[in-house]
Amino acid sequence: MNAQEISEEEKEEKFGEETFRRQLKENSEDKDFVEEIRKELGEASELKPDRAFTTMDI
Amino acid sequence: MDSENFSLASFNKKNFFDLVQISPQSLSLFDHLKKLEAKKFVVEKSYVDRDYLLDYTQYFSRSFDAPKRFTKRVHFFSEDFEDNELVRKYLQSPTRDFIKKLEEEYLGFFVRKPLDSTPIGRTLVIPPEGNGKFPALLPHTVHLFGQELQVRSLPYQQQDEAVVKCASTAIWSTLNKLSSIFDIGANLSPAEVRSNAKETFKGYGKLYPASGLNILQIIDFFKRMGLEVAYQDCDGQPPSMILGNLYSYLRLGVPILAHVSLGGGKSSSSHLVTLVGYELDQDSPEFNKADQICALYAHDDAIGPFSKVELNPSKPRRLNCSWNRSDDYSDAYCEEVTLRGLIAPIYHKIRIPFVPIYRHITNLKAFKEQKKLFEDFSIYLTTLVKYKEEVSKFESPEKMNILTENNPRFLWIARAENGSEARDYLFDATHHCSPKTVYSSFIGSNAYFKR
Repeated sequence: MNAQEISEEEKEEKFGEETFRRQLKENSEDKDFVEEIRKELGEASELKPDRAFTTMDI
Repeated sequence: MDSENFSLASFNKKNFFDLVQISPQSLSLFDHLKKLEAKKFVVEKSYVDRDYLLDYTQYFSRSFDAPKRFTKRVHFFSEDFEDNELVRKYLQSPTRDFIKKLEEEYLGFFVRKPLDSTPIGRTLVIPPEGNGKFPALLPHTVHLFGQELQVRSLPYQQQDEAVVKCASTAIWSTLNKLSSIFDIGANLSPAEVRSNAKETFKGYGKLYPASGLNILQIIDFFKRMGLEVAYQDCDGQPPSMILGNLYSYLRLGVPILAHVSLGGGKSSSSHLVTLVGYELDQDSPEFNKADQICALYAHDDAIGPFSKVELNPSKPRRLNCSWNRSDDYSDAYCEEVTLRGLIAPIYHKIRIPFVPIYRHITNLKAFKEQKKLFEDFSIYLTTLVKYKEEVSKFESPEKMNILTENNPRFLWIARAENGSEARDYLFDATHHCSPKTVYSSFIGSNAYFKR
């Protein structure tokens, strides 16, 4: 199946701006999901003290 | 051909290594130029190089036995022209055809510093041919004997172990491009980079001869330049997060600094390189383009420019590069090369990082549905100007609106696409919302057909 084979209405319903906005809002209201992101963001983006002082010595 | 001010020679091992002694960097540069089919090189015998001159002023000039102040500049061409052609058709009576030929066949230059053990100074050479993508490069105008030549590259130089080591050199490589994307005006020499980072030395370590910089000093340097840093710790992170981060910033052309450890366990050393490009596996079944990355290209001051770093997309922290390959480009072989962290210098107003955008989008039911309909998906940072340039090449009923609409300067784009159709979801990268909840930064969606 490719994008041309489904109707414009169906495309809009599956991928349209409003659908996307609604699902994003649902994500943002899901406290567990937001907490998960907070944790992942911390793990990925925070510079831990032992790493901060690693000297590039080559 | 050898005159008082310049010389012309055929590109071969003997002639090249008469200019510079054999080192990992010179061997790597020679091989790079050989693959680009270099045929001739022109040497400007006395050249004032701004970067070397500033390093000279700051450090070398006050030595009792100071090296020379002037450098040589060596230009490479893939055209096999004759000595008398250069004199007649370029210098004495320039002909449009010959100049055009040289412009088309120009491969770039390197500055030969008057330092015997570390001679390779500022180097601007074109990238390797093949499937690599190099959005981090920038067009540079080069003047050779009154004519203009162009080379699309990013500055590279060998570390000199006196004024700078790997970190300052890697930072220096990024500055031209960062100035161009973010308007920061940071045209600094390697020594100036080190001096700017000295404020964070706080009494320990000597400024010169150079020792390494730590990550805090590197981040602090960019903050002094008015930028922020998107830092990604790679330890324990899922492959998609690491590759997604790389792709999303590199695609805009932001050169990324990669912290790698060489060797395993306690005996490992840390090294910093500048990532300037990537390669996608054309046969990869992965939906997300970032997960298709199979190689990176690094300006590595201990190896050479555009050094290829292969990786397995399912284990992107384990790298296969010149440090652990059996080529001749590294002084020391080490078994393990591990990606430890990524430092992407970005404009201070880019407030929403990659992680929440990626997590929110991949959690959507609509995203999962897209997998059935589209071939590729990508998340990347862009500027409004670049986005409009891109869209202007497509057909869309909304095109006029997209091109005229007022939107933020920096955007996160989530794009689903196949051969003919694409759909973009736009987010305001400068939005003031909490990075955890990206809902309010969502601007809207654009659909269009590729020409």
